[in-house]
Formats: sequence, C-alpha cells, structure tokens
Amino acid sequence: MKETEAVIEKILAGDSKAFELLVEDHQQLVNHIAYRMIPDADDREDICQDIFMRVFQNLSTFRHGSKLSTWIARIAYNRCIDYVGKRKIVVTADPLDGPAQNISDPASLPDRNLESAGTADLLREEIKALPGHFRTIITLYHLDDMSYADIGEVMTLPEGTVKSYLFRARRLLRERLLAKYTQEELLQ
Amino acid sequence: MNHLGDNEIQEYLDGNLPDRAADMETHLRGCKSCREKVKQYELLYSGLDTDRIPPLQTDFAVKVAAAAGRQLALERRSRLRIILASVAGIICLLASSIYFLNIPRLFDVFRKLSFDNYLDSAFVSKYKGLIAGSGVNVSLVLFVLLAIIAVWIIDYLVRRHSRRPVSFLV
Repeated sequence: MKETEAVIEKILAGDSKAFELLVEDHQQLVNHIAYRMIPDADDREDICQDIFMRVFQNLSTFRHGSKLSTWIARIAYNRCIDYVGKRKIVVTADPLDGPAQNISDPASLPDRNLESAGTADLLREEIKALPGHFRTIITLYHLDDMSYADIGEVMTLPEGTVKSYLFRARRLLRERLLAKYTQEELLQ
Repeated sequence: MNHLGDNEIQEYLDGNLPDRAADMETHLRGCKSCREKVKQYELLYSGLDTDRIPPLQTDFAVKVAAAAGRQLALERRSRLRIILASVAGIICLLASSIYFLNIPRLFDVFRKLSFDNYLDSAFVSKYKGLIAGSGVNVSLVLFVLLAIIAVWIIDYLVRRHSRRPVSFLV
C-alpha cells in the first residue's frame, strides 16, 4: 500500500515515468474490461487512453481504503458503460431472466460455424453472446483474479449478486457449448 | 447423497467448500454423471483462465504518459491565469455586492479599512452609471455567480468525500 502511495505522490508531483509505469501495470486490466464491452478495436484503444487520462486527472481524489487496481477498474467499467449507452450498443439480455429458452434446440443458437476453430475460439464466441455484465464478471474473476468483493466494488453490485451472476454465466456457457459440440470436440 | 447441482460443483471447483470436499469426492468416485459434469466444468474453467485477449499496442503506455504530460503542461500554464482571473472576479463580486446591494455593515467595514474614499470616487460613480445604463439586472447576475460558486464548492466536496472519480459538472 505504501508503494502505491509513493507512486501516486510521484505522479502528482509531475513524474511522467511513474505514470507510464502505472499504465503499464494496469493496461491489461483496463483492456480486458474494454474488450468485453466495446466491439470496435479502434474505439477500444481510444477509450482505454481516455480511461487512463481520467485516472490521471482524478488521482488526487483516490482514497487508499480500496485497491488502486479496483479504483482504476471502476473508472474503466463506468467509462465503457457510458460509451455503450451513448452508442446504444445492444447488450445481450440475460437469458435466465426471460422465458425459458430451449438451449438444446439448434435453431435457438448462433450458426454452428466454428468446427475448425480451437476450443478457445469456440469459448470466446460463446462469451460474446453472454449479457454484458456476465462477460465483465467472468473476465475479472478468471483473468484478473479479482474477488467477489472487488468485482462488486467495480460494478457497484452486492457480493452475492456477483457470485450469482458468475455461476449463471458459467452454467450458460457450459450448456451452450454442450448443446453445440460434443465433449470430445471441445477437448480437441 | 443426491447428484451434485451446478452451483455446488462450481463452489467446489472455486474452493469454497473445504468442509464438504471429502464427501463430494466420495460421491464423485461412485457417480459417473456427476464426474462427467465436473470434468465439463473443469474444461470450462481452464478455457476461461487461459483466454487470451488481444493486447493493446506495445507503445500504449508511452503514448498515454506523453498525453498526460502535455495536459499537465497545459494546466500549469493556465493555472496562473485562472488564479488571476479568480482574484479579479472575487474583488469585482465583493465590490459589486457592497455597492449595489447596499449592505450598511459591509460599508462600515470598508470605511474602517479606509476604502470610503474609493466608494465615493468619480470612477465608481461612472462604473455605476455604466451598469445602470446597460439595463443589466445586477442582483440577478450576482445571484447566478454565487450559485455557480456554491455548486462548484458542493461538487468539489462531494468528489473529495464520496470517492466519486468523476465530477458531475463534467
């Protein structure tokens, strides 16, 4: 924590190298959040830059009660939500909230055109089809090793809701993948 | 023991059920369908843990730091101008408040500070005549200015104390 305080003090004193290191340390986290919410690669790069400019502008307001990474992730998530809202990007609805969907019916699923792709690509396609908040939670939990509490702080959700969404997202992914591919195909 | 549910399996794989792990493993040894389900979730977890998201450009951090540096330089240059403008604005605001709102106590304070000569000077009379002739509602202008200052102060305090990262004025 003291190390973080020292870095912040250096940045506030005008040390651009310290800020560059802070960006390097957190760019993967910010990119993960943006990747799951912003489909256009050029826009994504611009948004990531804008997020770090906001971090820079608001660094003096950071309170050391929470982790710096959580604070940065929160700015990134809010900025992406703002972008999605302004561009009116359709966020996939939560399929478990609506009427029951027959997931074993191939007609209710996207085209099965990924047979030659690796398992990672199959999974990525299915993640894309998940509702936005499910995608973010899955990414923060599995790729950025965030706890339920930290994810809740980033997304302003109760810890229990984060856990429930995560479980539903993984259940959906498993069901959708199994409805389209055999276990052997997935293991290839 | 009944078959394991989706949530139970996920809790188990997340390591959230250390007390029940032994019972669940005993069940898994004798139940093929639950074993299959756990295997499928393990496969999914492995895919999620190793998903490779395309990285940002290699010089991203350098570019952002350079942009931040430019902004900082710009801010430093304009800071002096802002301070001078603020001081001038506050002086105008105070002087106008005293003169146009006609608050006797403030007149007294200024008289004690030996500013009374300035209040009656020809320059001030000319200034008063100019504003009166323009038809501007000075009280309204003063009220708006005070309201803006009050909103700015509230915004600053809210940002400072509630850890909101971004101002609601922006």
